[in-house]
Amino acid sequence: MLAIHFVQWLVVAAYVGALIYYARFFRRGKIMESARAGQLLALAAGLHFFYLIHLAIFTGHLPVTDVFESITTCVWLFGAVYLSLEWRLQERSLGAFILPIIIVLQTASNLFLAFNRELPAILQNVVFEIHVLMILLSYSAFAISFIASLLYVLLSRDIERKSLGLFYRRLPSLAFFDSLSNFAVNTGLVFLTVGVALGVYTGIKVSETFFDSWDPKFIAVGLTWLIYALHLFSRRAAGWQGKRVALISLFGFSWVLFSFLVVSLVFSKVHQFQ
Amino acid sequence: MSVLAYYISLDAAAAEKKARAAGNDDSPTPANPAEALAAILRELIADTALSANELTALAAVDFARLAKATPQLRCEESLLVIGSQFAELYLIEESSENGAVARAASAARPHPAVAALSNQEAVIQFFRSALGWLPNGAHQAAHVETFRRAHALASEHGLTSVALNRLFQRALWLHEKVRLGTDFFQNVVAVDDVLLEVAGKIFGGLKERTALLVGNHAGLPRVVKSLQRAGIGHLYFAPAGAEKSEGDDRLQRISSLQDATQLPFIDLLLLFDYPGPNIFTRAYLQKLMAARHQAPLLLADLSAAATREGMQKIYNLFYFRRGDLEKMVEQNAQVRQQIDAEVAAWIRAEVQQFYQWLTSADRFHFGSMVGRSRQMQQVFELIARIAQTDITVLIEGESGTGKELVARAIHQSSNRAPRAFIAVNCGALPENLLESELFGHVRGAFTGAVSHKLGLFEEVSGGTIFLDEIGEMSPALQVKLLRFLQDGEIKRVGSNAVLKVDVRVLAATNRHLQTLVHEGKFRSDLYYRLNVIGIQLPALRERPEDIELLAQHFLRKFAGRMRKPVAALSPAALRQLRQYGWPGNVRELENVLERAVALTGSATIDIIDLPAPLREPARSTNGAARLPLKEIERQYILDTVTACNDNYDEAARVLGIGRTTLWRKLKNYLETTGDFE
Repeated sequence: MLAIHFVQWLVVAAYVGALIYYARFFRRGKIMESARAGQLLALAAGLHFFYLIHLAIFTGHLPVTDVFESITTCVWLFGAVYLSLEWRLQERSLGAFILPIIIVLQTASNLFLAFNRELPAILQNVVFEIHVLMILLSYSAFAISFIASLLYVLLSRDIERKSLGLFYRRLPSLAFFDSLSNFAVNTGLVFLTVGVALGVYTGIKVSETFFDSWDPKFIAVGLTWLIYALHLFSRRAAGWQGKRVALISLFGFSWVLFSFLVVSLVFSKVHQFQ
Repeated sequence: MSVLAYYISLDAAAAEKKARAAGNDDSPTPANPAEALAAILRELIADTALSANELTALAAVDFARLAKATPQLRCEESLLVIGSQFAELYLIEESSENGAVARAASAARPHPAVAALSNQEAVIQFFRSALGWLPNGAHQAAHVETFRRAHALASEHGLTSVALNRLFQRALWLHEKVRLGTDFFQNVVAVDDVLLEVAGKIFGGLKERTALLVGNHAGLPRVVKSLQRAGIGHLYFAPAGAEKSEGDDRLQRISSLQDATQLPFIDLLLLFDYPGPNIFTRAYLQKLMAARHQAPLLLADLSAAATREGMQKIYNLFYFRRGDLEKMVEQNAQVRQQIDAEVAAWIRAEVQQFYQWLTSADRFHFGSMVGRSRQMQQVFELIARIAQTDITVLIEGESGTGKELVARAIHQSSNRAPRAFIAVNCGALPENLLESELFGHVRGAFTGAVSHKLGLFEEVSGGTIFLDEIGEMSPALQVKLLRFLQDGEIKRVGSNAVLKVDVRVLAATNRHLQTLVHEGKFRSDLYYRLNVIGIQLPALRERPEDIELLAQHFLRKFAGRMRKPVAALSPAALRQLRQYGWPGNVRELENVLERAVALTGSATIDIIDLPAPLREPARSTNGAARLPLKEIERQYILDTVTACNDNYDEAARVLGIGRTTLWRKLKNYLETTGDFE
C-alpha cells in the first residue's frame, strides 16, 4: 500500500521533471535540451505504465471503473499518444503545454483514488472495459486537439500583432496546428462513437430499464459528441478554417473536462453503479 | 605558421574595374608571386554581372590556376570562397620566414576592393564565413553552402591540408553547436526574409502554396528569388498597367485582377508599387476571402505608400505593411545583437584553441606516433579522417616506419576502440597454421585438431585485425581473405558452415605490393579490395626534420624508463643522427637511443654513445667512393650478422628490423651473389 503511494507520487515527480525541461526548451530553444525532455517524458510514461499495472494487480481489475481510476488511465494514454506524435512529427514545442494538464489530472487522481477492491457485477465485463478505454482514448485525442488549437490561437495572435513573441519564435506554423488538431478530432470522434455504442450495448445487456431515466452523464457525452461532430461538419461542409474551428475545439475539451469531473461526480446517478 | 585572409567586396571590385577600364588599360605581366596573386584576384572579381552559377564555374577553373600559384607563393594551403557579395581567399604558410604572406598582404592592401586580415583575425573571419556571417555583419544562409562547396573543391585540388582541414572540421562542429544552441540561423534581419518567415509561420511549407506578385518594384526580383529558394509551389505575376517589366518571363502572368472570385487559389498576395486606382479595397478582399472559404491569406503590401486600414479586421487575412515588416526586423536586430555577441565569443574561443593546437607539441603526436614533417602530418590527418569508417586500409612502408603504430592509431580513433585489436604477422607462420589461426578449425579437421578452436576473426569480432606482411600470404589464404572482405563471411577449417563476422581489416606490407601483383604472386582482386585507402609511410631518411623530434621523444621515454637523468643530445650527436641513412627507420633510431641511454654516463648523449656506424663521419660527405644505398644496407646487415655470431634474432634486434625481413634480405643476397655464409 505504501509502495503504491510512493509510485503514484513518483509518477507526478517524473512528469514535473519533464515539464521543467520542456519549459526550458520552450524558453531558450536549445534543441539538445528538448531531446532530454523527450527522454524524461518517456521515462515518466514508462513509470506511469508500471503504476497502472501495479494498480490493476492491487485492485484486481483494470483501472477504469471510477472517475479517478479513469483519469489516471486517461492521463497515461494522453502522454503515450503525445509521445508517439512527438516522435513522428519531431516537434517538441507542445510538451510544455500538455504536461501541466497531465500533472493536474494525475495529482487529482492520486489524491482521491479509492483503491476500491469491491466491484459491482455490472462492471466485471470485458465489453465494459473496452467501452471505457475507447472513451478515454477519444478524450486523449480531444486533449491533443485542445492543445493544438490553443497554440493555434496564441500563434495567430502573435502574427496578427506582428510581434516576435515567444510563441512566434518557438511554434512551427498555423497550418501544422490546424492539421494536427483536425487529425486529433477526427480520430477522437471515431473512438468516441465506438465507445458510446459499446456503452449502450452494455447498458441494455445489464438491465432493460438502464436508459429509461435521463442520467446527466448520458446527456453530457451526447453533447460532447455533438460538439465534435459540429467541428467536423464546420470544416467539411461549411469549409471553415483557422481560428473559428480552433475555438470549437477549445470549447469542446473544456466541456469534456467539466463533464468528466463535475457531471460524473455531482449529478450522475444511474452511471454511478452504486 | 601564418594565416592570411583576403576578402574582396565584389561590388567595390566591379566599380574599380569600371574605373580602370575608363582610363588606359595596361596590365603588366606579373613579376613576383604577390603580384601574380593580386592579378588572380583582380581577374576573379572582374565582373559582378556574372550569376552565381557562372561565378562557381569560374572558381572551379581558377582552382587549377590557384594550385599553380600557391607553390610560387610558398603557401602550403589555400582556400578560395566566392560568395554572392564577397570573395574570400585564405592562405596558410608553414613558416613565416618566407614572408610570402606578409608581402602578399602589403601588395594587396592598396586595392580598394580588397581587405587583408592576418593571423587571428583571418581565422576569426574563417569561422564567421563558415557560419554565413559576412564581413559587413550581414547573415546569409546560402553562404554556408557556398563555403562548404568551396572547401570540397579546394581539397579535391589538393589545396587544403592539415591546418585548413582542421579549421574546417572545427567550423562544421561550431556550426552544429550554434544551430542547436542558439537562434543564430532562425533570426532573420532582412525584410524579404521576415516576409518568408511569416509565410512559413502561417503556411508551414510553401510547396503547395501559390503566390501572386502585383506591380513593379526594384526589390521585386529579390523577393522572387527568395520565394523560389523557399520552394514556393506556384508564382504568378501581374505587372502594373500594360508596360513590360523585366525578369517576368519566368513567371506565369495573370492579366486581369478585376474579379476577385477568379483568384481563390492565391495564398500569398504581395503588392508592390502599383499605379492607378487601388483595386485591393476591403470589399474586394472580403470577396476574395469568401471565394477561398476563409482559408488563411497573407497579404503583404511592400509598396512605399502602404496605408490600407481596416484590413486587420478581416477574418484569417494576415495583413503586413512594409513598415510592419521593418519593425519586425528591428525587433529581431536587438535579439540578434545578443546572439551575435555569444557566437562571437565562441568563435574567439575556437580561434584560441586553434592557436593553442598550432603551438602545442600535441600537433606532432598522434597515438604513439611522432612527426612534424608534412608527410607525417598528412598521414595523421588521413588516419583521423578514415578511422571512423570501416574502410579497409593498406599501410605500405619500409620496415621500422611504424606500420603497426598506424594500425593501432586507426583502431584507437575508431568506434571499435573498446573492442579487441589483434596483430598477426602473416610471414611468421606456415600457411596451414596461419589459416587455422585466422579462421579457426573444428575437431578432427586435421591431425592434432583434437578440439574446436576459434579463429582470430571470431575472437576479435567487433574489433580490428591487423595483418602484417600481407605480401607473404599464400594464394589459397588470399582467396579466403578476399571472400571475407567481400561478404564478411568465414569458414572454419574442416567445416562447411559459413559464419558472418564483423571485423575491420587493416593490412600492411613492407614490399611494394603492386610489383607482387605484376609478378603474379599476389591476387590483383585482393590487392584492390585491400587498397581502398592506402597509407604510404615515408622512410625516415625522407623526412629528416622528424629525426630531432623523434630522438627527443625516445630520449625522454628511455631516460624515464631506465631512471637516468639523461636530458639532451649533444649538437654533434644530433648532427650524426641527421646524416645517417637509417635503413631500419624509426625502429633503428629507437634502438640506437635505447642503447645510448643505457650506455651513457653523463646527462648528455654524445657521439661516443652512438653505435659504430653512426660514430664515423657520414660517408656521403667525406668524398669517399659513394655506394648505392642498397649496397650500404647489404654490407651493414652482413657485418651485423657476423658480429652477432649468426644469431639472427640478435642481429634483427640490433638492426631494428623484423626477423622475417632480415631473413628475406639475407635470402635475397644469397640469390643474387651467393656470397653469404
